[in-house]
Amino acid sequence: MNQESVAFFRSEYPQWWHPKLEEFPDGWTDLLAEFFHALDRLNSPVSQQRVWVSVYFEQSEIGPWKAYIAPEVRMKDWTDGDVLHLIRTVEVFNGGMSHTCEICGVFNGWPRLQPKPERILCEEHRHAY
Amino acid sequence: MNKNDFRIDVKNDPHIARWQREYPHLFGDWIRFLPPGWYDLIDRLFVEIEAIDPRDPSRFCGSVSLSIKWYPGSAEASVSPHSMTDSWSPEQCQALIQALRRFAMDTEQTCQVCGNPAVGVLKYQDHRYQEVLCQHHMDERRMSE
Repeated sequence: MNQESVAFFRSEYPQWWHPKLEEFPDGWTDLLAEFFHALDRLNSPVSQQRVWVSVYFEQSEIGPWKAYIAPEVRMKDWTDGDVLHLIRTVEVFNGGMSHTCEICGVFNGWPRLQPKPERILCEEHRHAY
Repeated sequence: MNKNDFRIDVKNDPHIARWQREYPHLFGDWIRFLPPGWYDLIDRLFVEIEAIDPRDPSRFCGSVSLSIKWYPGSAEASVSPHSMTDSWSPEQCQALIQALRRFAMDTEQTCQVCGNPAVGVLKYQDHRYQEVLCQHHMDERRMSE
């Protein structure tokens, strides 16, 4: 991730920023911004702003990334709409990472399994290191 | 207590052998860092998640991946939903979130050594991490100090 994006995420979403994200591919920063923005929408504009979930990113040894979430607010605070929005948001983000080129962000990437680590790349960037 | 002190004999522990067999899609290496007193809570969490959307036995993956992190005095269960959850109902999503939340709260109230109800958190004066303990293990720890 470039330094401009690092500065953006650290200032806009300090609650979910983790230094590990500095290794996050440049082509996925729009996905990440959409993901955090969608998580933030769990907050109502008219009530006190809270951190509804913790977010944890895992990159497997062979390459792929996954986002994990854990609920942070009381059980009774979750409406059906909230939980549906949350699960969809994470699923869409995880799915997006598996179809978006890590280099340019075009949504027609697919896995390049070798050499390790695996990468999601479009046709144009298929042979990039 | 050092985090590594929870390391157990993975090959011979009966819980772990069963979890590897019954819940290979939910089980993870994170188990090494969780105290055995919370194993029944982990077992219940596996059962609850599996009941939401039972895994197709012909596939390795389930609807979600699970990770549990240990913190001094509690644990937090996180999930990573896969594409199969795009057809989940609000009730299924609610069941998942409630199961994760309940697990986290229950670890704060369950002895991390034996699984009995906890009476409090023992904070050490040295480098050791605090522990959630029942009366018996609280007394035992204090006696040995």
